[in-house]
Amino acid sequence: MDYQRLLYDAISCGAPIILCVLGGNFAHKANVLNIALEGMLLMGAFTSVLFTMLTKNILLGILICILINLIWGIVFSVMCVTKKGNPIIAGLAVNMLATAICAFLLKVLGMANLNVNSIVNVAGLKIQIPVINQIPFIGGIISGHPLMTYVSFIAIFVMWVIMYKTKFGVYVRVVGENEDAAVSVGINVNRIRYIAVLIGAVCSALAGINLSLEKMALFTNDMSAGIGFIAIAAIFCGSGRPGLTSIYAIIFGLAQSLAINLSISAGAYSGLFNTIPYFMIVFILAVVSIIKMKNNRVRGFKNE
Amino acid sequence: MNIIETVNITKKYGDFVANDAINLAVSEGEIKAIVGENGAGKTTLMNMLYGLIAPTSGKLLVGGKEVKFSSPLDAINSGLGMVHQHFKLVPSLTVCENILLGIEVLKNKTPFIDAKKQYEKVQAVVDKFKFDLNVRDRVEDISIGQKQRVEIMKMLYRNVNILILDEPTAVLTPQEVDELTISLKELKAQGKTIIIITHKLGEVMQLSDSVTIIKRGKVVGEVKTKDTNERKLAQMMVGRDVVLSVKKEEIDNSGNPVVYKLENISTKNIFGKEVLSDINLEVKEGEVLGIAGVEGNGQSELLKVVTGLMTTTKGNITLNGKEITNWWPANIRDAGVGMIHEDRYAQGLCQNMTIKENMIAGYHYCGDVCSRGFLRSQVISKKRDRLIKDYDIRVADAEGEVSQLSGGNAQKIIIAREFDSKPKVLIAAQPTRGVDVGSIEFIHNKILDLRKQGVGVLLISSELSEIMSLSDRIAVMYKGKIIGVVNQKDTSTTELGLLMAGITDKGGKQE
Repeated sequence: MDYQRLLYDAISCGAPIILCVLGGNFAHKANVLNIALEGMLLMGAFTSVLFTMLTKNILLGILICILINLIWGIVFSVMCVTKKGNPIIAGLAVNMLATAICAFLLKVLGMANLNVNSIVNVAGLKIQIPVINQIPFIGGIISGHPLMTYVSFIAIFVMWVIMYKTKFGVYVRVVGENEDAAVSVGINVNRIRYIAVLIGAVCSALAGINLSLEKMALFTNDMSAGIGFIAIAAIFCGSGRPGLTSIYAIIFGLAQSLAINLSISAGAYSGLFNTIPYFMIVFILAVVSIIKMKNNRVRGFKNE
Repeated sequence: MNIIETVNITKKYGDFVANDAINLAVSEGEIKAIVGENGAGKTTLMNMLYGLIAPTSGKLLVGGKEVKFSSPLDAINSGLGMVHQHFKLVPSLTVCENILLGIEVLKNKTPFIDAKKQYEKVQAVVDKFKFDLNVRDRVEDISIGQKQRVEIMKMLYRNVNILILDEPTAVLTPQEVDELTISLKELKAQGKTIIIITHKLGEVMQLSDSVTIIKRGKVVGEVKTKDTNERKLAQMMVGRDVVLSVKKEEIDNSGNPVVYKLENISTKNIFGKEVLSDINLEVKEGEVLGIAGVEGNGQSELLKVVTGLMTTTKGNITLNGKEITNWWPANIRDAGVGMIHEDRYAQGLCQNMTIKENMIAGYHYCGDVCSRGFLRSQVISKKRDRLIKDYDIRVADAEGEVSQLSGGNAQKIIIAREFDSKPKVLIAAQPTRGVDVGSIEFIHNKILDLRKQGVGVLLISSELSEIMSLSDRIAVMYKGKIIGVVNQKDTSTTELGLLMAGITDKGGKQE
């Protein structure tokens, strides 16, 4: 197996998960269960390609894509922050709607997938970092990714700063940990939750752009393939901490990369390897749960 | 000059009138006590003063001017601060961050927090009021008394002139209460006005300048503290003469056999920290063993372990010599242990089920209420009616749900259910928490009846007066250990208070 290829793909596959995770962390810390990440990611992937195709301009496509995802974020927030609806049902609604809208519009357009190869030059979007790309082995892994992949890794640090060094970050954590404390000193709890969800929406949009537009210049149905849910798993495993959740995101990225690279040489059984990431989730979630519950001596469900 | 005045302030929830045309006047620089039973409407009144809820009608005047608060922030800006009964603190943040929550100090025109400057500013205020606090500690690591000081500090930092304290002494040791008294008197000397809400009349007498008594949402009395006494206040609160403490019969139970025994009980919490270490206790027949201690020193875990809600890491529990360690609650009940849990709505009752169903909960497979797996409705109804009569439970609708009942009557359902099962041992945790004065008297007498019948009682309570009036022997818990066991007759609240704070006459302060 080509190890350089494997690790390059791990970073490449990890990037959209990292973006989703970093955005989702804020909602998690603010105590909003945002399972709409998956739908927002798919929407991001779809609208970025669609509007690039319609406007023939990548930047405009990206901009509209982010705007549309913000609207999705607001829809989700209205349902479960303002109206205090059940976030699982609201999230499920967003996810199902996103899938349905993509499939429906593809049907209306009469296309099996959206292809913007003529507008977007995938190879041209890959950024070669000078000096670093000269390093043997490592250069080939780190260099040569599209913009959003680099953005995702820089974002780990940025999000850490926002979460732990700014007023907003403190408020997000306070709202999640003790809502009463926040209310009693006059913090607008709902506003903090809105912003937390919207950060998730924007990050999911970027992840979607990375997934479809940047890496393939192509949108196919259901191309999010559960990455949003994988991100939720990573958020849970890392308790919403930017650094730790990103490490889990990279592990899941590696699992996907393994699936891709192993199936190349597997022939007839190649489909089997596509299950690796999903097995990995179940395995890691189980292990993390066991570790978290290791010392639990309280019977029943609640643990205060 | 009245710094706060309410004029006919009223709050209605549907048909229920929580506060009925209350006129309250607090003069500047005094310590005002507001007393009343649970559910009398004290907290509703304070929440209106603090902007947490809006009054249905009536006016609120601060410093002579009419104000309308739409949030606590408005109240704080008008110089009114509140320290809640349940602290509104964030455990994972430091003392300093908690005090500055909402008014963080930022680096020049950036969104970033200036941690160094924050520490300096808070330290300055802590020094000014002579509070004993380390501003860099995380709130999750400090004691309850310190947490309360953080809450008070939070308000003082915001320059409030009027401080409202809701049940401030509920969770403190007697010594911490004394410290709080000193702090409050110091604040008064510095010109602050203080309002305390409480139902502990001893503290009212000790602390306040004037008292307002509230009953069923109405003001029923307003007196200067120096012109009254505890008995008169209690009368006004309840509306009849009450026995402030029940009279315990002297029974010589020192020679009775041991019925319930804990040996070297230890357990760990979810973080792997030992929360109970080597607990050794013995309860004799016809004896009440009180467990005293400041809340959070392992009493909850001890309760969970003895009632089968938590497993041990080592040690044995025996009932009449029979091992019952780590049995499930149903089996423990079956073996003859009655349980009154500390939170009646979490473990004691199911609020959305009927009184009938709750009367047999936990015993639904016992005796004649169940036959071949089917519940016998008529038998249960009869049992319910009998218990309602015997235990004087005031229900509007006997077929209704438990949620319709007041705290005192809901607690009586648990008492009736557990006592009726003829236990050999009773485990009673906070049996009178949030219960009106009349019901407290009733429940205490029932517990003493059991004692007379030869039942062993393990009483866990954070109310020292309850422990003192019911127990034969008292064990004090501190940091998950039994720090001392004393005879009720030979001890005093001062001695217990020292033990509760971890100070033994031998080794000094334990760590």
